[in-house]
Amino acid sequence: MVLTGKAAAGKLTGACAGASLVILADAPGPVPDGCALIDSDDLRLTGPLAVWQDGRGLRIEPTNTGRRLWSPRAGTVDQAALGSLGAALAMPLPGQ
Amino acid sequence: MGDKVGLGRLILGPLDGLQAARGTLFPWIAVLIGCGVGAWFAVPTEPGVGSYGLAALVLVAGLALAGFGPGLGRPLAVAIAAVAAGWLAAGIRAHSVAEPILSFRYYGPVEGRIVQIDRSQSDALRLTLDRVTLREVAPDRTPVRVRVSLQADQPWLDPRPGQVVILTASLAPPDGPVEPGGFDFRRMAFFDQLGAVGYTRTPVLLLEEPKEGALLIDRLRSYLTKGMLAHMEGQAGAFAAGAMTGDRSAITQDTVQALRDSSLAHLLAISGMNMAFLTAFVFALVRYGLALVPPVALRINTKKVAAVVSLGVALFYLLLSGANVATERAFIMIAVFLGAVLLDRRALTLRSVAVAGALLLLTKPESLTQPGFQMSFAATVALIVGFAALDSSIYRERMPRWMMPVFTLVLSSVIGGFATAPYAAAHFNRFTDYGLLANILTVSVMGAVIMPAGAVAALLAPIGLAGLPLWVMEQGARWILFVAHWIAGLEGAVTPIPEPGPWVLPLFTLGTIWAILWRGQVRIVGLLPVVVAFLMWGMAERPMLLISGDGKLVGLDGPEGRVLSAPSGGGFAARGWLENDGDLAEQKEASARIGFTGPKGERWFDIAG
Repeated sequence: MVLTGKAAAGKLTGACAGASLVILADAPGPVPDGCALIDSDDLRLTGPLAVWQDGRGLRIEPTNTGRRLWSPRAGTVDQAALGSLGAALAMPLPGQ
Repeated sequence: MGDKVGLGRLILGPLDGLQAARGTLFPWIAVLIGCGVGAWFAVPTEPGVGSYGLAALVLVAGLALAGFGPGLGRPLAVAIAAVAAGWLAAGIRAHSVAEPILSFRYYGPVEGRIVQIDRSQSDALRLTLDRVTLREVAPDRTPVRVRVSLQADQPWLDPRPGQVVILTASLAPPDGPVEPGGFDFRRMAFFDQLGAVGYTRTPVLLLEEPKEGALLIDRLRSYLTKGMLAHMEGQAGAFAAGAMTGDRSAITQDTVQALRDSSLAHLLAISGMNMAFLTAFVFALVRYGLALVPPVALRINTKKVAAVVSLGVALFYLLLSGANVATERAFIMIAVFLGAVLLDRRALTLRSVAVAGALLLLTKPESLTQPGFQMSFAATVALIVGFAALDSSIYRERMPRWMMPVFTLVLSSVIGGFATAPYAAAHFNRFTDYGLLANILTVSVMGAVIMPAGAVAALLAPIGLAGLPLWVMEQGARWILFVAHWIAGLEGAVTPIPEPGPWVLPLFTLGTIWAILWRGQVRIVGLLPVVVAFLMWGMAERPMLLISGDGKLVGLDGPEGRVLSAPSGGGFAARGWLENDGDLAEQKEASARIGFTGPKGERWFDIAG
């Protein structure tokens, strides 16, 4: 699910319980355990994300992969984290 | 032994072939320089000093081998040197234009000198400033240029180049792509030395009038445009003035959109075609004018005089229109052609196009990535090849004389349209179904009415007689805009085309170039990459889910096309995604599709169907 707006971060716990992926247009406070979350801090590093259906799993592709004179000097994208997030998304929710 | 001979032939055979084709290899130099530049832009990580050292070494070694090496290897040596030269040129250029890019969001006072005035996509007046001062930003971290759009009407402001203004603005670093592999505005801004973009809603105040002698050309452009606008009405006047001076600040977005949807936007650019029309008119005027004076015509080569004069006019036009990359490209092409006339060579050949291409790629390597560069060269090459093929065919001789101009016009529109369509479709995600008709109906008016009338107006203005030619220009512009609006308004005028992916255009381009440049059987090989390119384009997939860079907008591939999580906000990403999908819907429409449930700010969706 997508959470935006002023109260977005506050709704996080509920969202994490019900959704297999939460996109939060805000920087979160404490994150519930096992919550598949993409927040604005992650996005600042990765840039916009594209999610592809890839065989059995999902593949998450970041925009900021290059390091050129014109790309911003941000940190590096954590490809492994994106990979495991993609794998987690493909699994059924517990209790479903 | 037999094996060895076979192997030797395998290696030497192609080299022998190259040797035999030596006379026709020249255009490949430009192509290979382009490959070097393309590779430089394609690598994900900034090339280091080592790569430039290697490239320089390869370049020198290649040139030495080409000069003194064994005859058979020479073409290959030149080829490798050309690729290295492209790589090196791109690196040198990038490092020489590198300037600070704003690294944070800034809200506060901005002081700067107006260097350019145009309009944004939302029709707001937009100022590009240089000599920028920002509060509490060190000079060595301040961008060289910033661009601010004025979101509130400011009737008291009459912006002119050279004025120093102060304002309070929100500035941000230029935006990156809206999705992986998408158009990167940051790269374009980097080469324009544009380090921040933003907007203001508060008044822009004039601090200083332009200094005596500063930005003379820009002020002349602004002055001429205003002078022309005073004599010509409405959007027709704005169009005619814009095409002549390159100052488009009076043209509304509605007009631009109609021109785009009818495939006529190139008429407004100071494109190679417009510059060619202008120089052709001046060339003819001087040449045939002098021919009317026998004492002169018998003593001097009027053709060369005409070439020199039109080169001067082209140079003036280049300076007047602000010497952006597109105009520089047009000028270099025209200069090479006129240079060929001066040297008694045939002007329009693949060789001269290659010279222009190589010059551009070495001095402005970033051109390679621009749709304008790709489309100009595609059109020029296609026209040369097309008309050369026709020259040797029988149709020409059977045709009545009066048909020739009509035939030429229609044929050049057809050839130009076909050659540029794949590039326009890939970059702008659209195919204009009636673009050919629109071009046939208007191109002659541009070449035979607007550009000549503009030149005559410039000649007559000093004696106060510009009124009539300006009126003629206005009528021509009226016709063009009428056609543009009519065509753009037709049902199905625009067919959306999905994003082709990164390999389609390079494959298509190299395949076509191969088929054009080689002689004999081997040229058929070029069809293979072209076919592969179109197959890839046809099968190109789009992401199932897209998440914007701020997390506020999500686009899900649904049964009715992409559905967006919100009807407003993040419009830039929304527009980019839908265009790349090959979807003509607006954000609001796309957000109403099936796929998301739940209240605003809390949108649920189902992934993996």
